[in-house]
Amino acid sequence: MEAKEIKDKLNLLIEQAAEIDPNLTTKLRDINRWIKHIKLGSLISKPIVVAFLLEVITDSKVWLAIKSLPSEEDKRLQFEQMTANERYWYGYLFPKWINATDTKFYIWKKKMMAGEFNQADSDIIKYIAQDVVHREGSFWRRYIADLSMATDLIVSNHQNKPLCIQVTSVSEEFHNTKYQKWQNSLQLWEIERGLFLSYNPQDNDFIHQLVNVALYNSDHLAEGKYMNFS
Amino acid sequence: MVNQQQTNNSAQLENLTEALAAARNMQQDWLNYGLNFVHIYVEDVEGDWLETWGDDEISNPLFDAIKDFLVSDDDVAIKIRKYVGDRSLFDLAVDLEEGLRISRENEKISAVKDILASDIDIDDLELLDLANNFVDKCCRKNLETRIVEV
Repeated sequence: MEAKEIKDKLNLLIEQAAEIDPNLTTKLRDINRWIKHIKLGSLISKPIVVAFLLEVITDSKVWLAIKSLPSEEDKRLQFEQMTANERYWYGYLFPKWINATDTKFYIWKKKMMAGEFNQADSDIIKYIAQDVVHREGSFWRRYIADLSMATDLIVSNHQNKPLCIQVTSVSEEFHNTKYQKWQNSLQLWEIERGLFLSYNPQDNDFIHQLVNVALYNSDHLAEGKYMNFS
Repeated sequence: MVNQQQTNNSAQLENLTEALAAARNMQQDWLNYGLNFVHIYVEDVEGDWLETWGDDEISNPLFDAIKDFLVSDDDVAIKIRKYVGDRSLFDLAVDLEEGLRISRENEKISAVKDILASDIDIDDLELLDLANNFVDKCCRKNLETRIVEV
């Protein structure tokens, strides 16, 4: 499709959501308004904004389809057929985001402008996701989780227990402050388990090691635990 | 009647199946191509769509009120201008408008305070006072504008 059609799709969803879930309408309107002002700074990466919008549109469609099911029993059956990560996202985190007042929303633009999604970091997240899949685990990646919930990836393993993961380089300054902020953010969103993974880019095998820790802890980390691994 | 309901149900299930399949495919495309996956879905990612996003929209009275307020002779506006220094007032207005759209009063003030805090280095209490005054004046002003328009 042409890029200008994205806005039409967003507007259509805003209309559809008005009858089904007014809180989603509010969120989508916020996004519409936010995008409108992005042009002020030309430094922003258009592919990232497109990726974000495609993702929000896709997730909103799934959410509206779930909400339109006639009975709670129908919804329960459909959630049962999803993967554990999908169930966690569409049944727990995404509706939480829809219904929360995200007072940090204005920070999103700043984060995108500040290049917090730099290519090297995105590549590392992608390699981790690829290795997770290669080893028969599963992952879920969402910009909303990243921007609002301090979560780069949600990972599940044999026991189908989604675990929120944040990945950061050990060389980064203010590691402890960042860890504390991360934990606060997870608690704010009532994310019960989390893993804060630091890697050393000099280490040849760090992707494999990170995935070992992530998969193991997805199965074994207890509820209410936030783990810092470096 | 029953048949009609069954048809609706199956259409709703089909919608969900399709939407979920689209979400899965998109994630798989990201896994294969990284951020470049967007080019599979959108042909002119680097076009001027972002620059022209809001061109067909009607004006935004709240945003206009904030812009007018920030350049006004009001004490609070003068204080904000003094503190923010070189920062673009337009950019500040964009952020402040997002803050003012929050419906709960305490969260609105807290968001405005956070926005001002990123530019202004004064003590917390004074900042809160400034945020409070700003919310009070700007929201009231906007309300008055709307009443006049009606």
